[in-house]
Amino acid sequence: MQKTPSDADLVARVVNREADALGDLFDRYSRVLLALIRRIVGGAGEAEEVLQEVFLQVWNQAERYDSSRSSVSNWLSLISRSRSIDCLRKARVKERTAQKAFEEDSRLDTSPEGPADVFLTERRRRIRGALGDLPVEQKAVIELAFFEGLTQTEIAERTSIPLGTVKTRTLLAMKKLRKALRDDLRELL
Amino acid sequence: MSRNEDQILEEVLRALESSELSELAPDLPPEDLELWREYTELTGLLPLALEPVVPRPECRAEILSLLGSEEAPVRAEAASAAPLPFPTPVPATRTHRVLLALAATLAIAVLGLGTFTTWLYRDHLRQADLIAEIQDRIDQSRSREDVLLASQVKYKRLRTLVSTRRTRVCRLRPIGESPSQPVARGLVYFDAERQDYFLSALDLAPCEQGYAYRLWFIVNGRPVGGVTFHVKAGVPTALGSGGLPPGFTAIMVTYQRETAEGPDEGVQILYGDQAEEML
Repeated sequence: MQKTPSDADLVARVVNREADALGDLFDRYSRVLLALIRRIVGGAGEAEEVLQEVFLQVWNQAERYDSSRSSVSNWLSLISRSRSIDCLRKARVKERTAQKAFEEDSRLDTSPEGPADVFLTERRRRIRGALGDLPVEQKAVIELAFFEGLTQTEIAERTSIPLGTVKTRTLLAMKKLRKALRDDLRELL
Repeated sequence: MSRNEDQILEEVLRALESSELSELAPDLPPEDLELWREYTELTGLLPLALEPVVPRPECRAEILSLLGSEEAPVRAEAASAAPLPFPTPVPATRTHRVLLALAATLAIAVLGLGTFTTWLYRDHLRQADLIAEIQDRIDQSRSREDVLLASQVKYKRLRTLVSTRRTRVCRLRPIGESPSQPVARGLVYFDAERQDYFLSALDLAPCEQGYAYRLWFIVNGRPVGGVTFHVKAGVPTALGSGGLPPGFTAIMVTYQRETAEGPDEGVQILYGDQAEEML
């Protein structure tokens, strides 16, 4: 049975200009990344444009990936977040309603799950569980920071909460999440 | 010196807000670096909580199709590398495809309209030629109609003249012992009351260039000029006029130059001084 290439292997092949490897990365992460991008930028059409930019940046800058600093999935998430925020700020985007976009999404993933999908589904369940265990006010600042791309200052402005309180809630939430997801983090390191 | 967890976490969050985290790994001692990496991975792990969204089926192919060149295009703000030498192509979107389809439809419509306009122009030229040809035929028909109307008036006048009880006729014959046109003959119908007359001549020789025949009425021994006429070979002579001078005693026809003023300058061809009643 053929061994499934690791994420790092795929990135190494992308460095060697193998387009198939980029296609495999797309197959693995496009749905997760598109969910994040859509949550930040709002519109479906703009989200796919940003997704294209993300993978084109991966193609052009794959040699910059350093496995000692982060996992491939984290690297992709950070690029997606960065490109989404660029898009958001550049367009001075309309007041998007993230929850509405989330609810109106007509292409939620309902495809049959392969082994990798099952693995991701389990991880997703654990992350959602960890988020669900957070106090509501801590969960709110985490979602605004990581699902909508807001800075600490922007969260404070939007929620009318003092910046110091926002930072405190964020730090507390992150520490709890780190403990709850320690096993998953170890797998990535 | 090891930093406390809060400092490391704040640094991760600050780096996350500023740029790509993986490129901003701080210079930390190994024990702090591990914590820094855990929190870094945590920031990348949280988005997995979102419900996945499936891209359009063609999205993957569109991205791969943009990899044709050595350096795949990336928007300027997306790349921190050196600027690309050429403008950055933008990946095709649904809006682009709709615009392309509209442009193609418009091009086809313009082409079709151009062809139709050319056909209309050529058809217009054909119709104009046809109208001009019909107009020529109408003009020719009107000319023939004018000739026929003139003939109709002339023969109606002749019929009226010859059918009137008071009309008289004078026979014209060659004159002299050796006449120049011995076989020529003529008749002059005249209505003295209406001062109307009509000449019918046979076998007069065709006119030469610059010459013509002229009808004269002799009044008190002096010639009074009537109509001047030309004779063509094979065409009978028939002409009339309303200028019959009163008191004439004889009629003659001379052949002379068109510019001649009196009968003495020409040759006498026919002469008659006897008038008879028609009926």
